[in-house]
Amino acid sequence: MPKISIFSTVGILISVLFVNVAIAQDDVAVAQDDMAVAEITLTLINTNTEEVITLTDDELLAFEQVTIRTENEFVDGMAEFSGPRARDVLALFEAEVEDYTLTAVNDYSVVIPAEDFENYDVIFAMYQDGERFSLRTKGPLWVIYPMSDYDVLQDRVYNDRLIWQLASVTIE
Amino acid sequence: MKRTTITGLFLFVLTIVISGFAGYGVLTFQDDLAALEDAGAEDISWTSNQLELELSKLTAVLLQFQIEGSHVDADVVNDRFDILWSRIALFQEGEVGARLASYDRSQHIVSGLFELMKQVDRQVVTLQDDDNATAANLFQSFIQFQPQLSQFSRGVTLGEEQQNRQLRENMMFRTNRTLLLSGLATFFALLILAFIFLQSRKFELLAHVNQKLAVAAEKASSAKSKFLTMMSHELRTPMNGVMGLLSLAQQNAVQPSQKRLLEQAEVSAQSMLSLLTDIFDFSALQADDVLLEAEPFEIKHLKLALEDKFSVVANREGLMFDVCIDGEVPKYVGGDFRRIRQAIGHLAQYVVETAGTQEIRIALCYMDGVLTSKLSFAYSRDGGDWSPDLILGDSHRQGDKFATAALGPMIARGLIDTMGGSIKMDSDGGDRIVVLACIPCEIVEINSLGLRIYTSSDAMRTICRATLANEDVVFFDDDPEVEVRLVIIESGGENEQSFVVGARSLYPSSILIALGTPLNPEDFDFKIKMPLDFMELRNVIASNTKFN
Repeated sequence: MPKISIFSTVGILISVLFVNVAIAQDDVAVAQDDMAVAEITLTLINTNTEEVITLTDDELLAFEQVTIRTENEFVDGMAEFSGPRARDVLALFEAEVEDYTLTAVNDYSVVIPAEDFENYDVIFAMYQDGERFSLRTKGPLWVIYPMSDYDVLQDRVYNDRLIWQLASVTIE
Repeated sequence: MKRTTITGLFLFVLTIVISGFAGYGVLTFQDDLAALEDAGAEDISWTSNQLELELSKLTAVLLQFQIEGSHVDADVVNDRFDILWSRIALFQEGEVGARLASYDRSQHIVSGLFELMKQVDRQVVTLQDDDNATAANLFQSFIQFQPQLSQFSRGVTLGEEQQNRQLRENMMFRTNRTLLLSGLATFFALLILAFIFLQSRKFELLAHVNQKLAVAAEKASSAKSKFLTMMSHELRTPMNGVMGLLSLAQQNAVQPSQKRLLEQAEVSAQSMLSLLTDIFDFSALQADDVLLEAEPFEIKHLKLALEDKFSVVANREGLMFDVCIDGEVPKYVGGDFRRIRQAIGHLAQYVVETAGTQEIRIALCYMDGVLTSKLSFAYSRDGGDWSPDLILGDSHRQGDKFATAALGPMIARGLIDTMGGSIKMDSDGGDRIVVLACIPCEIVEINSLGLRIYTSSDAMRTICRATLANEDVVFFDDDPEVEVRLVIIESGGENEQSFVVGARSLYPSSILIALGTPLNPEDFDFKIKMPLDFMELRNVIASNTKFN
């Protein structure tokens, strides 16, 4: 049996050690990549407290899901929308405000009075007729009012509040 | 009047038609308002501008993507692409989509852009962060749509403005039209109101004039009736005087020829008096001034009265006159005996004078509350002036003729009408004509008191009868079959005892009343002293009529 020098052995051991470290780093990198895949669907921003709450799809789906059947100017006939109730999600702010600023992915924003969410079952719709919204189809979230249930909602004022591609909600 | 009605009807129909047009105008105005609201509800211009904006953002990020060190990576390009895609997707559904698509129908700008996007979709999705060449190509493809989309947006904006302007103009036109029609409808409605007001005034005047005429006619009629009444009384008084003198003259010893002359004069005077009475009755009927005195009477008394009246005439004219009671009749009925006798008498008189008959029969019958007199006779063609119209009152046949014999039947008809009855004519199937006079008479139940007077004095008997006669009292002398419950005996004379014995034996349960001071007071139940106190006697009679 050939003699293996101590130096060779130490070198081998050190090499193995480095390899393991590299593998471990790769594992960490993979783990970090996995974490980056869970996209943020909605961001809640409180400019007073500088608090920012981000919600993923799963977190939004964890809220009670409400289904609304309604017509509006942007769909053909009655459509079925489902998603969390807006006031349930906005309750995460834990603050009483008069209105909310809702902003879309293209930076279009609209101010909606808080009483709309209190008086009506407005939802952050994630699905239309069973299909998940994508960016191409007004997703990830579309603010939907139960217009067919209330004559008062069939007005231009509320049409303007049907903001789609909702990205964030801000309070001041 | 007819022209006025047509004018009013025409105005009314015109108002309804114009009001209908005005109502239609209101409905179309509401439709325009709804359309304007719908147009305002959808900000089509904003949506088309958003499309233009997103295209410019996409081209901007494609440009920045090619710049070294920029923060724009493939993900940003994809996001912008998806957002632009979502803007184009708006054209494909909903009311907004339909209206946007209508603007693109001729130019196909948006549809062309969408076709490009579908073509480059794969390139965008697979774009790598360092693939500047693809980004440049994409930029070149999309940038050419920028001016076209601007043109499209301008077209949408102008189109929406034009549509809104058109809507507003339509609304203005329809509003003006509706106002005009409403004004016209109001104008015609006011015309109708004025027309109705004028008509109402005219009718008020007419009513006022008519009222005056009616009052004048009433006064004239009243004056005429009063005159006739006065004249009848004025004439009857001397006529009664004449008749009285004629009766007195006949009681003297006169030559037979003179007696005949006196009899003829008496007959003429009676005829004259009868005519005056008829004129008075006719006048009262015309003035609706006949007062009926309904009292209970016996139908057999009516039979007797009619026989009395016509027996002399029948003998004189040589005709057969018969009055009978046909079937079961009640003992007493209620009615104006005098007027009923008068009415039937006039009918019979008219037949005697005009029908040329040799025989008249009157049958009195009663059924279902109606007393019917059936006067039947055989009409002779040589009869002369018999005219059933005068009895039945068929005025259009009479015209303005007034036959001398017409008064009697007219009075008969008037009296029967006043009593609520009717006159009909019938035939018994042969030659006989039947005149039916139907007069309502209710059956009267009378709890009559049979009374018998025992006296040797005719004067006393007559006085007692005259004093005590009423509907409750039936004298034995008139109806021997009556149940006598009250006996009046002239007392104090030699016949008193025999009267008492006779009364007690015949009427053991009756009440005996003594007139005068009786020899045996214990034989009597009541005593009326002389001179006769008729009030006391009537009171005794009255109290005893309540006894059963």
